[in-house]
Amino acid sequence: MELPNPIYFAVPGFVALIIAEMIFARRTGRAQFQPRDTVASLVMGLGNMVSGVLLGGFALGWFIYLEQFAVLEIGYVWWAFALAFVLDDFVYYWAHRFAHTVRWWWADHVVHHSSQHYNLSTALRQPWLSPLTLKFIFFGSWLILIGFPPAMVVFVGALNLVYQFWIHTEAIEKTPKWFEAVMNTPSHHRVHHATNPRYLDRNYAGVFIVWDKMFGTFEPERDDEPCRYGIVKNLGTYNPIVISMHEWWGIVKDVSSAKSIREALGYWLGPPGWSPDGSRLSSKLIKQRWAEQKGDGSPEPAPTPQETAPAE
Amino acid sequence: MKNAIMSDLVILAALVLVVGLITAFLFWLNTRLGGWSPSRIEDNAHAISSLEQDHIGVRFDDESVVVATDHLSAFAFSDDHVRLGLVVAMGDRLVTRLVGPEEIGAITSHGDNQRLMLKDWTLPVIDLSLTPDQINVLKQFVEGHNKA
Repeated sequence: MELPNPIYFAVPGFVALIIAEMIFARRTGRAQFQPRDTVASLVMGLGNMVSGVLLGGFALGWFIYLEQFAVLEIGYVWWAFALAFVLDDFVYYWAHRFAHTVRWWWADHVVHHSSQHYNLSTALRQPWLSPLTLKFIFFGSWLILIGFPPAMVVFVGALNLVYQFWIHTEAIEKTPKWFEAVMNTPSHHRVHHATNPRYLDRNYAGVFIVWDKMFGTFEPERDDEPCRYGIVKNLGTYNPIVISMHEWWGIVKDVSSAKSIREALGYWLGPPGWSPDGSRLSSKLIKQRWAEQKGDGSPEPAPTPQETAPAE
Repeated sequence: MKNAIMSDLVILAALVLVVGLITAFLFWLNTRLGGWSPSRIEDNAHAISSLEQDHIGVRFDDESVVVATDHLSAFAFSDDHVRLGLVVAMGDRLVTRLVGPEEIGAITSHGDNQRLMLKDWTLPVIDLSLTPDQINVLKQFVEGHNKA
């Protein structure tokens, strides 16, 4: 069965909504755009689309190969779509969580977080090399092995991404309470994009925020703490090549300077900001320092890193 | 097979063209609509608060703060004067760095300004509109490290 790619159908809607948000931003001041930042995000989105066409075949080929090992044979019935959508979102939560805690995958995902703005164009700021990180093997295989058809898995995955577009906005403050309780919303996702220590590494959800609540990573947005967007070490450039490659280059430099296999593995697969002597700041250390600074107390004193290359 | 690949490439090229045009249109629209102001570093307190916000747990020497005459950049030393905090205006936002002297490649003249070259390809160049005395402070910071 051939299923359409919902992302291609959504593109005109994306463009229309970005235009609407720009006009809304100008009239109300409740959202912010900056032309060069917007273009950088859109160029990253364009590159992501091209790389999807050129490299996406790797993932599709893997899924088709894997299909023969499926435990069940699930057909194209409505409940299977619904179940696949929910299970895919569960897998997305973990894939996303690992994308923030394993530098190899963070090097790819950091692109999406690299803008200091948070608007609908930020949703399209996507990496170019995702298939090469082999994330699809580690996280994309499960549904195929259960027995969902590859085309269905790809379809619900794309629907998940389409859902996530509209939550990249400051134009919507809060949705109804019942919706905030179950679904990922602009408010929840603003927290995810914020670099405030309180908000770092929180709200990994794609569609259903319940995963964060279940696994202890939920943080509500607070009125007394506005989100500051971007990454811990913000980029001083709009150059798409630098946006795309900066963390990869950082890994190459660090691994090549490693003094042992253990160090090299730590730089490659450790959390962003990991260093053998603890001289850089990971999210965990930033949170720890922040807790100490505001007097919350902390079980262990934080080291005093030289901060030569802070974590992102 | 060859024809199929060719037609796919043509479709891809057309897609790139269309999205490129949309991007150009949105840039034009965003520029026409305005609604954003170039960022500037207002004063010493603004520079310090930006640095302390981005570099949790690091204290900066209030007396060492220098805001460039064009208000587009600023620097301050950490309390122990071992590291240099830099604040740079970029678009409508500020970008900061905390660097040791070994991370500064060179300080050169660039027209009426000075240019700080960092060993950081995400922020390789910072133009500083400083007085000769202020630039000397930076040079001493770098040279002190080189002598050591």
